[in-house]
Amino acid sequence: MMLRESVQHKKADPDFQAITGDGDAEATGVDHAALLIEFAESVVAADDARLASARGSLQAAVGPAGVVDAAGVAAFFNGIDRVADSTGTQMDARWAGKTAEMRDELGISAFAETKKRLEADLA
Amino acid sequence: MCLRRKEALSPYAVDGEHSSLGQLPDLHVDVIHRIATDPGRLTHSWYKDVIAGGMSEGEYVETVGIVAHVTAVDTFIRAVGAELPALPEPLDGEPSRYRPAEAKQNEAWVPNIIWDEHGPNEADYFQEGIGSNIRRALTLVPDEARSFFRLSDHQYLTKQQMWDFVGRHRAIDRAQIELLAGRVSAINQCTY
Repeated sequence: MMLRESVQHKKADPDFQAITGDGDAEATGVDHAALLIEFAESVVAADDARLASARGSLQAAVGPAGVVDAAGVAAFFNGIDRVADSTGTQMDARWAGKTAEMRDELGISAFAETKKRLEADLA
Repeated sequence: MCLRRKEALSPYAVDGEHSSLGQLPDLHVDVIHRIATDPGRLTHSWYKDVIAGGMSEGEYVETVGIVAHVTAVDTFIRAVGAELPALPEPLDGEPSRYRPAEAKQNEAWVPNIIWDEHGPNEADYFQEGIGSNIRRALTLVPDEARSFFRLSDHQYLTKQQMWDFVGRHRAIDRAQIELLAGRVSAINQCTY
């Protein structure tokens, strides 16, 4: 929802499939989207060579301060995702309805389905 | 073992032992590894088994907080290409084991404090009014919640900045920030 809100004044009909790794990054309407996605993926993948390359490419586009801020955001979400998933925190009701269609389209709802299947296996 | 679990269709079908310094119970070590390496496939049944196995709810929430802090800090250091520093030495003394009386089961596996039900000890944390559920997630151990969301102020955005979609608060713009956040969360299969 945050991404949609922040892009809507820049691009009329953004496509966010790149969030789940399947789409065209530039279709998001975000500046330097492909470089940012490659940086995010290489940060989480813990692949030092790939990360060094991604960092260099991103720095050429957004500068050193941009890389530091991008690193901070990727790092914080790598942490907060663990808070959300290990405490079983439910999505806020005020957002769940607004984002349901988008989560289905992007395949994000499938993550919850995976959890339900694992839960059924454990029962 | 974490790698074998990560590659398995079900992480609960793979047994074994983690390498460990032997200073924590095996259950605690396993919880730390699962949160660190495969958080997107943790389940409520698994959590209930952990608590039934002897880890208190407070110990669990504090463990989550520590893993999340270390993940965020270490990820940042790696992302900027710096060397990981050594962990600080443990301090002497006993944990406070403080548990807010107002914490109860609500919209999460773990007990937490509802926005308008906090006591005076947590008034500082809740003074800015209603926030998202994730900001309540660690409130069973209030100092973990305070500390982790101070990281948000530095690495992401403050609570006030989060709702300002036009102003520029970083060297990258808001859409770039949210694209990074979304891609990282999708890779982690985060359901929040």
